[in-house]
Amino acid sequence: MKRFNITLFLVGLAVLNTACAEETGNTKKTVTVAQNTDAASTETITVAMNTGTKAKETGTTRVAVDLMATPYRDAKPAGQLPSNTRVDILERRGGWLRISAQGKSGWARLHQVRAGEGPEAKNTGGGLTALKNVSQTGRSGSQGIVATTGIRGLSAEELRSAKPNPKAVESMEASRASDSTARDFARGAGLKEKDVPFLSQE
Amino acid sequence: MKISKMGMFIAALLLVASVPAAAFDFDKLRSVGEKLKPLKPTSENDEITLGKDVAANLLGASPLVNDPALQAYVNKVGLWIALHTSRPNLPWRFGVLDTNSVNAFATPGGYVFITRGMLIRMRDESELAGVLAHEISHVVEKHALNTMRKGKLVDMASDALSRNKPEYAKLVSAGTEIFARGLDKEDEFAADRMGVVLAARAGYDPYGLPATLQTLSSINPKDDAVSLMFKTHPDSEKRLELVSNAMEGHLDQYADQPKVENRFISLIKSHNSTYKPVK
Repeated sequence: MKRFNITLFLVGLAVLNTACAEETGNTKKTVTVAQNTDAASTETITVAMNTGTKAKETGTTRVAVDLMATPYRDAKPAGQLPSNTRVDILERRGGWLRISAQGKSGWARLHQVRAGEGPEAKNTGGGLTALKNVSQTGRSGSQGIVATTGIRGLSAEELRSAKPNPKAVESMEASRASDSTARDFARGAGLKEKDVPFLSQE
Repeated sequence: MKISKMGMFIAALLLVASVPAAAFDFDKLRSVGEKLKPLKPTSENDEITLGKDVAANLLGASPLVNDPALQAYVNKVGLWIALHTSRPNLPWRFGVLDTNSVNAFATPGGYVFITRGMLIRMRDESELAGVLAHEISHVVEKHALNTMRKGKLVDMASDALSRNKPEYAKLVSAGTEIFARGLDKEDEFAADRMGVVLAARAGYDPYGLPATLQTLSSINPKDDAVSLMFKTHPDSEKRLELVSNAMEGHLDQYADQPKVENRFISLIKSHNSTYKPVK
């Protein structure tokens, strides 16, 4: 039994190692894309080379988690994980995530797990999440780069000092949808309307 | 009419009388008085005009992404959600802002914006639907408009809502200022609770918004991309926890509704392949 645990631990380490390699290896570099004129604030964004594979999603437990065998609150317990455990996110279902770590796997509530390494990570924001989505949605092809360059942020100061641009507002008319287009669009994705009452305030 | 005014006056007196003498507070009294002052409700046309001018300010600070297919797509998702509210006939318009910042905005009357920085962090259409539904809820519930009324702009909001009055410009900048300062946090929680229901009504997996909140709560708060968003909204972890708790037992049954992943991903892929930032 102990041996089994150690094996699992080693496998876990190997997986973690691979994940780290993906993180720090050739597949990714960080570049500075924009620098605000007024402050020392510099925005960085993750630039990922397209590896042709879906990056695995990882997370960190925010709290000690009682894993469930199925995604229901009254499901059978499936072990516990301490807080701050690095986990693999295997599946998402409603308010639940199927996670695995330390040889255990089971369902945790969405709010019990932070995606990626969490705010404490040294990595610049977005980090794993952006990387994951980028590899999922990101461009492949010639440049093989998923990057947004030359885009500035939007700060409170910019909002306050903005000069109105009514022409841009008018330009939005060109992309407006009609009720019937929206209806067809919804039907096209198999969306079915439901009668759902509003939630009361706790 | 006279009777009801008298009734209010008596109610105010009772309220004042119930405040212990030691804690007597003139500010409180004044705020009671302000609440009693009957406000002329803002007409829908005025609301739309104001919203349009606030949108012009926002678009002065950040351009729209130059991708008609992407803009049309977001308009279809957004309108489909908006059709499931009590105000389906507002002139709903949706836009993607060309900024790396992660944020979303709504102006009175039905102008709703999401930043490209937020959009490219999403996994599927149900997440986009969830965020738009949150913004749509702010519009439907008139959160921004009511914030202006509660503040010093209380009289202006009722009387100055006309483009040719000098106070009007101040009202527009107050509307823009809300983006810089944020709404009341209770309004944010309320928009979360309403947004998930709207998404479920429209046929989406309602957990798109919680999934996005989870993404937000995982971004390093020191990242400039989230600084305005985090400054103007309650903690994403807290929001995630509150909305998840509110959903439990009520919306779980809709979790198997479509997330619409394929359509979203192919749209974003094709957007990314031709994307050029607006200068």
